[in-house]
Amino acid sequence: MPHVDQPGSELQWIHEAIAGDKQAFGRLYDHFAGQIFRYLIFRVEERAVAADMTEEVFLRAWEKLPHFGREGRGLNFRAWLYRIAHNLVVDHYRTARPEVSFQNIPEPHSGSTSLPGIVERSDQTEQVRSALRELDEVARQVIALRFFSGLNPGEIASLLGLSEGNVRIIQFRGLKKMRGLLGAEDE
Amino acid sequence: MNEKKKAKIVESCLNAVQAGKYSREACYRRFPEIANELETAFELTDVLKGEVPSDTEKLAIKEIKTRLMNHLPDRDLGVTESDHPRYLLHTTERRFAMTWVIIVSTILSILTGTGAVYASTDALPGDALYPLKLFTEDFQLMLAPDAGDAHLYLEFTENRLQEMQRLIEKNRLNDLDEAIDGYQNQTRSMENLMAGIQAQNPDEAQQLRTEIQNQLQEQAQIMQTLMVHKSVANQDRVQEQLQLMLQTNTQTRLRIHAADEEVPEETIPEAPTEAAPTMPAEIEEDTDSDNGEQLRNNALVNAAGDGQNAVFTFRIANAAQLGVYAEMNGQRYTCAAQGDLVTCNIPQADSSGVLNLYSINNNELLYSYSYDYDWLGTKEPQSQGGSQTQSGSGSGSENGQGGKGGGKGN
Repeated sequence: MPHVDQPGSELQWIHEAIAGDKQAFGRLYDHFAGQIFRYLIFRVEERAVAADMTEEVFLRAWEKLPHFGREGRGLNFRAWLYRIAHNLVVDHYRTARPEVSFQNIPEPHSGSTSLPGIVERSDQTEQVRSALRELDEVARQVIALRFFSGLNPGEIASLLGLSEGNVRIIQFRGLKKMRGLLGAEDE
Repeated sequence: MNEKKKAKIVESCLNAVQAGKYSREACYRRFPEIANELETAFELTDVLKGEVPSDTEKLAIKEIKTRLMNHLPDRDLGVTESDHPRYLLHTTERRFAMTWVIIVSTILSILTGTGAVYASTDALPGDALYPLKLFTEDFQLMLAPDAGDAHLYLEFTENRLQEMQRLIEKNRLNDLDEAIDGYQNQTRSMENLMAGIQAQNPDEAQQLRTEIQNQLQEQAQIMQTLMVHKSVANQDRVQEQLQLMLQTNTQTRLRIHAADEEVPEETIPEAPTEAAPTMPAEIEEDTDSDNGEQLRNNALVNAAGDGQNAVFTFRIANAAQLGVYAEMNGQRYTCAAQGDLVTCNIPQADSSGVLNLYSINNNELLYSYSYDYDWLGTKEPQSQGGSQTQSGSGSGSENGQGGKGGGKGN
């Protein structure tokens, strides 16, 4: 059975989607796709890739939904979607050609047709993004999931297969490093 | 304040501020030593969560939905897990493996003229049929897929432990070596296998991890029970072997738990070294509960030493469930726990020092015992522990008598 903490409407949609109702699944998509898409853009930094991955996340979610209660292992639906997205990001970097480094992935051009435009981002966001690149992969995942996606340490722990204590410590070390990278002066 | 505590407080402050229970400034004032990290955390919250989907993103999300809904396959409600191609393959492989096991078993049975293979399942190390039992296990491993291997390794480590129990009950202590070696090897193989599964299929690894950890936890409890079994209580060598097994078990659990491919070794929480200052009530509630009450109720029962080794016995609430290890001078030692009683053997113990007990489950400090013994027999004045977390102190003599926490020794 799905996680008991689901808000009522989500729970209803999940049950209907499990039963094969595509409209209900569409409502789940409307509710969560924005977060997942933005998280994927944040992680892979390539809009077209993030768009394909978003589609893949929801396609996998549809296929796996009947087993959500068992595979979710206590995760709520949102965290479960993030886990699917996270696994895709891991696969993406594992199979990426070595010469294409994380730092050198080109930004998409604003003239892109089907998925237009770079969203204007503040300098602050760019600074944070640059600092994040300097963290190790696990710390980057934890900070992104915690502060960008708003998942709590328990959800991140389940998602990454870590203990909650580990997640907090990784987050703490990440914050420490980020502070230095963002050029803040320690008092 | 150690790093683990600081990390907890950062998280608690973030939650308290988000819930409106606490202001950012109040957090900075209350925890000046982590004000920098807190400030960074709040800045990240502002910058990253402040982003809202742009119009172009909304458009892209709509386009993705159109593509997705066109590609969604109809759900065949009649399909069950057993019809899933991957599951079917798994089942087929298992069936194939078991078929071979049965064929080989039958041939061997015919050759030996008896149901030797089947009889060998009850064989113990030292028995004539024991090698046949190991051969059958190896054969099963050879034919099983990776995930099946992990389950088989778990099953075989259980076999080794059961064999040890039976050998100890029969007082066949000389035959323990083979079972212990087998346990150690199979546990290590299982850990290696898990690393491989983690790399190839994180989802599958995630599911297996919980199962393996639970089973290893149960095995650790059985080992702790064996350590205080009357047949081996005074058998130093067996005690040492069991401690080694317990160490392997604990380390394997910790490493599997940390999914070491993704988490550097250094991120495994270190044992706490000092207490955090008292936190505001609303933040205190958000952190993992400190074990203050537990610390107060725990006590030293007995201490004994002979100049080479020291044996400490403590009463620790729920010790068997928690699993207990000791730490002294940066070295860790496994302890045997039965019910609320914990026995820790410390080889080459110094004449004075601080022995900290931690839970194997969560690395929480359970008890801290500051001692000052003259192992040659002169009773020394007791020394109180230096840090706030030290809740016990004592002194003792070579027979462990005397001192605040000391009891009767050998």
